Formats: sequence, structure tokens, C-alpha cells
Amino acid sequence: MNRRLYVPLMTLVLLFFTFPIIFMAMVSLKGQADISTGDIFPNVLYWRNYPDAFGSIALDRYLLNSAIVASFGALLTLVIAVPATHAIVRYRIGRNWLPAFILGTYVAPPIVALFPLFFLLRNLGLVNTHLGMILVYGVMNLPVAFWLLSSFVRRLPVELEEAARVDGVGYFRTLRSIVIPLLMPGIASTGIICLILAYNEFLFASFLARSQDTQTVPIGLSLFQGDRQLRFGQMAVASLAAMVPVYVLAVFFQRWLVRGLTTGIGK
Amino acid sequence: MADVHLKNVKKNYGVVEVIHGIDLEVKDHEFVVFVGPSGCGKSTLLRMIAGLETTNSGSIHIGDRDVTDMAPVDRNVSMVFQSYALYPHMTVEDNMGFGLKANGVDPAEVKRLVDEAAQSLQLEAFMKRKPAALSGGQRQRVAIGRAIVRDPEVFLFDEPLSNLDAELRVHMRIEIARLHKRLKSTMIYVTHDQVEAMTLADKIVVLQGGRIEQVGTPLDLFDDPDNRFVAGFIGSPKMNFLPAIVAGIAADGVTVTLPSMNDTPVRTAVPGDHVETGQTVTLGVRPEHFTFRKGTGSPITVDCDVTEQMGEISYIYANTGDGAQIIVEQRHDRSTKDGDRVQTFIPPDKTFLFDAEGRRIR
Repeated sequence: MNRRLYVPLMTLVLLFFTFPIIFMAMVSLKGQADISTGDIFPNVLYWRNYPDAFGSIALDRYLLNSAIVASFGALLTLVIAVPATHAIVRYRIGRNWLPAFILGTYVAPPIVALFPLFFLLRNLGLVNTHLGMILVYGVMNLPVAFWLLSSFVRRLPVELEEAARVDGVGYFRTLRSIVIPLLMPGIASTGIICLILAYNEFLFASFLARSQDTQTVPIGLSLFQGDRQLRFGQMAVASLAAMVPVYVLAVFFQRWLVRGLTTGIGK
Repeated sequence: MADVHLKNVKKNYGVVEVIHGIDLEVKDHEFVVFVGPSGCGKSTLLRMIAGLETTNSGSIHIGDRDVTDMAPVDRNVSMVFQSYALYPHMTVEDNMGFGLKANGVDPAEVKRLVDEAAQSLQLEAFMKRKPAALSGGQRQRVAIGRAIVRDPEVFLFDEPLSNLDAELRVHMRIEIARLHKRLKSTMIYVTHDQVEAMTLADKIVVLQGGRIEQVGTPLDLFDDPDNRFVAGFIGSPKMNFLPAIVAGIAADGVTVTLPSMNDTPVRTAVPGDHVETGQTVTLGVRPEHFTFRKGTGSPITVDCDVTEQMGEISYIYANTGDGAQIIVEQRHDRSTKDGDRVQTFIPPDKTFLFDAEGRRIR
């Protein structure tokens, strides 16, 4: 592309995608009166939002809770999804209907699963516990993990597993020593995507996490909505802070993330 | 004893039958090559012997054991795949020893066996390398090494040389022949390359459409094919087939005429017991069997379309009247040019006749 066109075009694209973040950063520097003007830039820089935001909610605690439930949830997803996807794709278990059924469950609105899950966890004494949320997130993201992993499994040459079979290597040893090491890029990208999905999840967390000990970042952010007013400035500060871990993850694992989302698109 | 016995072996995918009741005996220490065009079922048959494909009916015996329903490992076979199927994340050493280790063989014994195989295949210098850092030929040797270390009763090769370039293919072909001589194991080898089949095999099995067309030594198939398919498949360049009509039956053989070449008569040494005058047949002549000396056979005149000079020999590609092409091999003579009219002779004892169904008339 013509370089003279490239730079302004890319600047426009960059602005388009970063505008919400820039806007949020601007809101984080506005006073309550300034926000209602609707201007993009603050008329007066209002730095008080920063100490106020961190003082009014236990953001560090929410971040820790999110990290625990999202990372263990993603891990649980992988533990189930890797062998399941391999078996379904490789041995055509459930022919075409099982993959379609798995993906179908993801299309249903999550709220339909909320009440059964809530009562199920309550009976098990797992409401308002990390374990309960880990279980929910671990299972909730299975269809996504299956969808992402299946294209990686399909790309793995079947001869590798056949060679192991002829060599007398059992299924689980083949899975551990051949399949999983070769699927590692796919497993990593799937894990990160599931982690981000669990980190951002609001609906289940709002019902299952009832106290500060288990509440996650999205719940923490919603607490800025008071009875009479919404503290936009502080909420913007907390949102920026909540974005940092996800951004760091995305930047560090960009290569794998892109691979995870694009594998299987072309030949 | 590691002879392999297939008895009425059938395979189908759903309603589509791909292997139609094959009976075959592979003797101990024999090198048998399955050859045939793409989709003829040769790889499927090999994979059935390996245990990677189920057998729908019939039985497979290795030695005195019925292995039809056994897992691959219990059959005591090793397989070399077309794609090599080396584990890309493991070193050469680990690739070769993985099967043994996974089966609980003592690590010291694994090392001894792997080193021994590596030495025999001149792989010692590459033991710490991963497959990506090896050339095609080296990867192929590692794949063979991985098969050797388990000391199987039967080696199975699934088009192992098809990913190599022409020069390396010849080299590896000789290495495989040496390996067979040294190990004296039973080997079953699948290829679509009839040169590989001719040079390696003690016995060739020609397959088409999931059926065996003919089984025999390479020279048996070359000299005495049972049908037009085998005659055309074995030999390079392939045999010429010309539509012909039986014109006369004599004690020393049948004479046919070639409608596509102005009814030129061609004498053959084929006995006339199974033909009648006026019957439509196909005359088969190998390119190398044409001669250029008068009195050696029936003369035919061809108009040379293209010549290929190969040095010692040249190939004359000539069009016949019906638009088909015949290939004539000329030795020690480079004088023929494109567009030349050439007279050549067909020796009667080098001709074949096939009936309308493609069966050989003997």
C-alpha cells in the first residue's frame, strides 16, 4: 500500500479501536459535573477520582478473586476439553450431532442456565465460594474451547497417533506424550481466551458471588452505581485498572491468541 | 515364522466395499509389493494388516496367529508411513526409542537397541536433532530406524519414498533392498511406482478396484501378464495397445489387422484356440520390443510426431489413424527426427492379444 496513505489510514483505524479506552481515560479525569457536559476532554482535571476509586471498593480483592476463578476455571475447561475434543474429532464420537450439540449449548442465552445452576450449587453448598464459580466457568466455556481446539486437533497429522498405536503406545500415553505437546499452541491460546471470557463474566458472578470474598472485578465495577447516582469518574478509574491484566495477557500472548482465533480458517 | 496369510479379506465403508475378498499368501522373509493406481485399495489393505483399519470379514494370519481382531501392537508389525510420521517435538533418539520406552523396556536396553539401529542406518551424528533439522532422506532413515528397533516379524511400508526427490528415491530404494537382505524379515511395501515394485519385490501384487489383478514375480508380470491392466501397468513406458481384428489363424499363431493403421497385418505367436476370425481384439506390444531390422517381424510404418532423445535410447511418439498414440523405443540410433516416416517391425513372439474384456488370449 502507498506509504502516504498507509500512515493516516492506520492512524484512523487505531483511533477507532482505542477511542473507547481514550474516552474512559478522559472520564476518569472528570468531576461529576464535568461528565454531564458530554465533552470528550475534561474542562478541569479531577485527579481525586483515583484515590477515591481505590478507597471506595476493595479493587485488589476483586482482582485476586477474578484471577483465582478465571485461571482455575480456564484450567478446568482445558482439562475436560482437550481429551474430549481429541476424542470427538479423532474418533468421530457422536458423528456430526455431538459437535453441533456442544456448540448449540453456547448459543442459548446464559440466563436459562442460571437458576438450575444456582440451586445445584446451593444444594452442594458451593454458592459464594471460589470452587463453585470455578466449576461454573470451567463448564461454561467448554463449547468455546471445543470450537477453538477442534481446528487444532484436525490439523494434527493422524499418522503420528497411528505410528504410536503400531508402536504399542496406549491412548493416554499418546495423548500425554504426542498429542498434548503438539497441541500446546492451541491449548495456550484456548486457555487464554477462556480465561479472558471468565474474567469478564458478569451474569453468573452477580448471582453466585454474594460477598467481597468471592466477588470478581465486573461485580466490583458495578458497585459504583449508588442508590442515587452513578460515580462515572471512579468507575472509569476502576475499569482502567481492571483492563490492565487482560491487556498485559493479550499483549504477551498476542501471537497465540491470533493463532487460536484464525486456525482452520484457511488451508 | 512370519508368513502373512489373508483369507477372503473384505473391507467396506458403509455400503461402499473397497476391498472385495482378497486371498493372499506372503511367505516368511519375502519382500512383497502391493502396486496399483490411486484408490485401488493397496494402502487400505496394508493398514488392515497393520491393524489400523478393521476387517469386515475374512481373516488375517501372521505366523500361526489369527490377528484379525488384534490391536496393532499385538501383531508384532512395524510400519513406515508415507509422511514419515516422526514426532516433531522429539529428538531422533527419542523418536526411535519412544515405543520401547512406552512399553516399559529398560532404559539401558532401549539405548542399546536405538544405538544399534542408528549405527546400521548411519544416523549416529543426528541423534540429538529434531526431525525439522533433518533432510528428507535422513527423516526416512529415522522412520525406518524406529521400525527396526522393535524387531518386528513383519515390516509394512506405505509409499515410503514418494516424498523424496528422484535421486534420493533411487538411493533409498537400494538402502531398503539392503535392509531386507540384512534383516531377512517379511516386508510388505505399498507403492504406485512400478519401477520401485519391479526393483524391490520378490513378489508383486497388482491391485485394481479393491481386487487382485495378478500376483507373481516382477518378471512373470512383465513377461506373462494375465490381462490388459497388468500389461499396461507393469513396464515403462507402458505397453502400446492397438485395436485389432483377427484376420487369420495358422498353426504358428494368429494374424491380426490394424484398422487404425490401414489394416496393416501383424503376425503374432498367440495360438488361435480361443479366437475366431473377425473377432475384435487388442494387440499389445511393448515399446522396447519393436525392431528395425527387416525380417524380424511384421512391418508397420509410423509417422513420428515427437522424439525424445535419452542418450542411449530414443522414444518415438507416433500417432495412429484413430488418434491414439504408440511409443516405439529405438536403441543406438539418434537419426530419427520429428516428422520422419519410420518403418519398424513387430516380432511375433513379443506380441500379446487381449479380448474385449481385457483378458489375455493365450
